[in-house]
Amino acid sequence: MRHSSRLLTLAGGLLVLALPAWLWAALPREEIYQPGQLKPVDSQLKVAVGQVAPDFSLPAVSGGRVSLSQYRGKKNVVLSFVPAAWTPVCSEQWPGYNLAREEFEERGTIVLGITTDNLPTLFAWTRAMGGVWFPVLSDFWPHGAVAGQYGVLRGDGTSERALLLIDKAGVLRYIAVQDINIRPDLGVLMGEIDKLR
Amino acid sequence: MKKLLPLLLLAIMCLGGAPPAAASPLKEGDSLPALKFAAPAQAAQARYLGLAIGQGQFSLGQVKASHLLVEVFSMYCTFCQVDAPQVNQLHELIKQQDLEGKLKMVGLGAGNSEYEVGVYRKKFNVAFPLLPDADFSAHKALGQPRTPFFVLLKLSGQEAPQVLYTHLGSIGQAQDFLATLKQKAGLK
Repeated sequence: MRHSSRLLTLAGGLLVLALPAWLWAALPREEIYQPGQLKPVDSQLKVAVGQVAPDFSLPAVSGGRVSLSQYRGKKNVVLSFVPAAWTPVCSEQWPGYNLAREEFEERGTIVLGITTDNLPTLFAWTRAMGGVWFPVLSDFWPHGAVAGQYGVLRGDGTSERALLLIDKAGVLRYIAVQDINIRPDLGVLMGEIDKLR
Repeated sequence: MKKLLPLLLLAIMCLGGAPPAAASPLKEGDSLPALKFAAPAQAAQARYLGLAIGQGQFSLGQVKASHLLVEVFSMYCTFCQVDAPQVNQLHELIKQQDLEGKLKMVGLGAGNSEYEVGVYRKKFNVAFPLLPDADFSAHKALGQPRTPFFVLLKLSGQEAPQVLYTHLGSIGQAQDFLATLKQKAGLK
């Protein structure tokens, strides 16, 4: 019994020492699947700047459903499609948007994060990243229906790394289908949002 | 005892701290590769580094100090975000201990544009200069370290800066980290 108590104290002490490195909202690379270099773009856009963005309704990690039209007349919307949970670039891109929350909010803009993963996967992944302030939506079933509607569904069932900016009137104002292997520069996106002012 | 094993294992695994380096980052005894950066636009930051106002480019060897601590970070790196307050405290301690003439700090934003570095500066109120490295060129020259990665350099005029010490991951307590830096640099 005394032996067990000492072990418990030792384990607890070691955990406390270890906390700053691992458990403060940081996702170690060893926990992330490494897909290697992928074909930069593997889809054909079906939407264009100037048209009204197709409406959709998807289940959110936080519960309930989120539709694009609920933001009409209220906020600009950035649709951030990322290829998959637990992959390298995606696991940095959204924590970066977390840091830039005030930058988006100052510009009257909400981010909707979308992947074709299912809800339990997205739940675990976003928790491992320490959570994100914006809605994270699952386009899992019917698989990739929204990504397909926008023309950003890749041949392997993942989505492109794409950013689509929709103004308060629901009109697409900027589309960037990025090389899937490269994180988009946030400054470029903010510059496009600034043009809506 | 069986119930305690997972806890012990988790604790021991966690003690690994930040993940190991992916490529071959700089190490003690190396010389810093020749790198040029755009001088900070803010006059106060240019003055801090001892650069002429309006100077176009500069190399880290030109910084007016005997030693320079470089933090390789990224706005997108959650480890860096978590560690930012301790790093700010380190910068403050250097000032409080009147070491600023000898030991200066810069951050190098791996893969970060000027805008992204600015978001990080604003969010954490970082007082020391942060330099963008949007195309990862400086990061590659440093051996592609994971972030945050700290390099203590000895600056000696025209010669290439020498690496005195490197550290991967959180700095932990700022006071302890500064003590290590002073010991490595031979600063009182």
